[in-house]
Amino acid sequence: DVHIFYRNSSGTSGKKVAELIQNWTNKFQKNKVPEAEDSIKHILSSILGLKNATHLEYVKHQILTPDEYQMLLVKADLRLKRIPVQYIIGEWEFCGLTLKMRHSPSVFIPRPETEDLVFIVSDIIVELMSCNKRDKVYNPSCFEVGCGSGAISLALLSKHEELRCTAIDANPAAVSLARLNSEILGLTDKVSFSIAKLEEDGIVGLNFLNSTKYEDHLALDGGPDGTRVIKQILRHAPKWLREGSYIVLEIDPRQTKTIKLISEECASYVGEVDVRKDCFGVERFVILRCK
Amino acid sequence: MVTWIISNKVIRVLSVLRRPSFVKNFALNVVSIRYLNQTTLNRSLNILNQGSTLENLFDPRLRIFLLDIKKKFDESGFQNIETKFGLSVVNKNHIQSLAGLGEKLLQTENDLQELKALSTDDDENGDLVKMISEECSQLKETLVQIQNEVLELIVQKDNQQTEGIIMEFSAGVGGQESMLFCFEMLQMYTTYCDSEGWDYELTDIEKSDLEGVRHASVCINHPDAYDKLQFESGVHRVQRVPKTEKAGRVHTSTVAVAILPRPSEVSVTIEQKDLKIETKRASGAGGQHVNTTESAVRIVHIPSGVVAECQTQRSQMQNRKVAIDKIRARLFQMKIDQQLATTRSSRKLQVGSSSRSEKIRTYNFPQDRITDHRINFTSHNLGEFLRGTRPFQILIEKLKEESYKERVSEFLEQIKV
Repeated sequence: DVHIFYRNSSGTSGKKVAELIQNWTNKFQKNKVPEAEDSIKHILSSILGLKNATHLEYVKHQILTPDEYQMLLVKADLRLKRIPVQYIIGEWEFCGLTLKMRHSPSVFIPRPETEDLVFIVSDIIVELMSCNKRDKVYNPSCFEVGCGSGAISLALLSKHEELRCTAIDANPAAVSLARLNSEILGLTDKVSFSIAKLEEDGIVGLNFLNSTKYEDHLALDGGPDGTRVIKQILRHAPKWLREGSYIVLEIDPRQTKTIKLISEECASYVGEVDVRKDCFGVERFVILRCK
Repeated sequence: MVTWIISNKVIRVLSVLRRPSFVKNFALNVVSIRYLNQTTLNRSLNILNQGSTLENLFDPRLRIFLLDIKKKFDESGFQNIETKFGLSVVNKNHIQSLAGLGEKLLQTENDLQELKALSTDDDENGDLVKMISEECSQLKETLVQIQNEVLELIVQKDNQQTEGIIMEFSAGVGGQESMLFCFEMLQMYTTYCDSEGWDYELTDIEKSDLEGVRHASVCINHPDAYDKLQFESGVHRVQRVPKTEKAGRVHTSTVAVAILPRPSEVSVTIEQKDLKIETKRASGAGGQHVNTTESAVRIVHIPSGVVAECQTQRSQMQNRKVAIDKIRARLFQMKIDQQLATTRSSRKLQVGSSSRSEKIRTYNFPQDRITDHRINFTSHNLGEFLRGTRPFQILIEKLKEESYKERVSEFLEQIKV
């Protein structure tokens, strides 16, 4: 429950940017808030409508208006409660796109590692598209399980004109946020987001899956969900995917062995299994190619 | 190219002159010639003809060069355009245009000669004399235009379509004062970018304890940036009473500015496999990484050893992109420096690594004066200048003009008559 008090709309708050950064950095540090200086910088640059935190350098001497200062107090307070910066400023960047973030109810914030997932899937799309010219021409499509804010699907769509995506998430707030982001980015006609959940016997809530087969991909952002969802995906994959399709998973590195075991189970329809590292050098991605 | 409808006979000339369409065509042709304007006209006259006489409108060295190209082109087309001067400066794309201009030159000279011959015959007819002299001056203008076009084609830089530039500011001699001025310089250029409507990113900044900046790096994303700001490279000197100075003495400090053109991805390709990408934070052992806002990267280009970092962007992918752009710009600069090392140039406005350590400009606050030492140009109104407004823009134009003149002179000197 947040109230913003409008006191003195005319006049100034008398608070300079540089001072505020210094004071709040100290305050955050005293309260053991992680990334103290970056936090206040992101909050301030967002309030002032700057492109990113580094642009604060040019406005070091700017004095905040009373409204801006009030907003700062509210947001800084949220940060003292350890709420993630991305939720406080309501947006973050992913693969060059600015995506809205939502806090209550909360929707998963995309991680930098996931940008590598987008690169991997992107390369696969390019490869599949290049085969197109020789055989038939059909456009790649992609199915995402656990879309969160829509980050992965929207990033892929922004890079590939012909791609079409379908994505699901069990969290209604996520689907609503993903739809909002797709509207803002002008990609609504290329993607559909639905509320659905993976169950033992298939996907509950997603109707049309029975009639169409996914042509090329499955991208999964495993999140902290554990192997349950992954197992189900692997079991249901042949129903959804055409031959030559790929399943790309972002996983917990501790899961690699489990994945290997599972994929051995699916050996009848899964050919190559490839494990790749993320930008931090940790095994993060598993790529399965369907026969 | 322009086609001429002036014929060899006076009668036809006059009747043609009277035709309204001729005037229109001529006017259109005048307008459509690239770079034509009054200053260009004057510029050309100034550069080449210190004592320009009627006969000497077209520089004789240039004339020989141009006609030589035309002759070779007429004989054997595009192959083997190596003039006897051994110059390989001519861009192959321009050879045909140059040959065309050579043709035009000959025609124009021819027409001028015929008109002059006619004018000695017909002294009495005042009307005719007037027309002839009008046409004479138009033809002379044409000569100047041809000359300008030729020069523009030849002396044009083998550009290097740049996507933008990277500007680097480093505080030099003078301690705190120089760091303060470094920040002011940074602000001046970013304000200038704002006024030009150019997109830019501050990609790197190292601040001092007080208000100053030790080092900063700005990525400007606009193709015009190099053209306008290339001459800002060098050491800028400031003379004023520092804020910290109690006795009121004037101090001199310096700030070094470096400009790196950013080539297109095609001109300098970087293989993914040649890059080693490092990130600062250690990844969590399990699950996805703990949520943070920091995604700094450090990239090493293995073959050359060039290193670049970036941490100012909100996403890891963008930090990577900026770092790779920096590497690309540096590789490009290394290529240029290599090329420049082989040519010797006495040009004052030569951009390159040697020029980066030269004192190019002094900002004198007590006298409210800015002096650019390369062209001996003085400007006043420091306040306006440091806001990147009109006085600064005037200096930039002047620098471009002087550089053009220098390049033309250098080129002409190479033509052995």
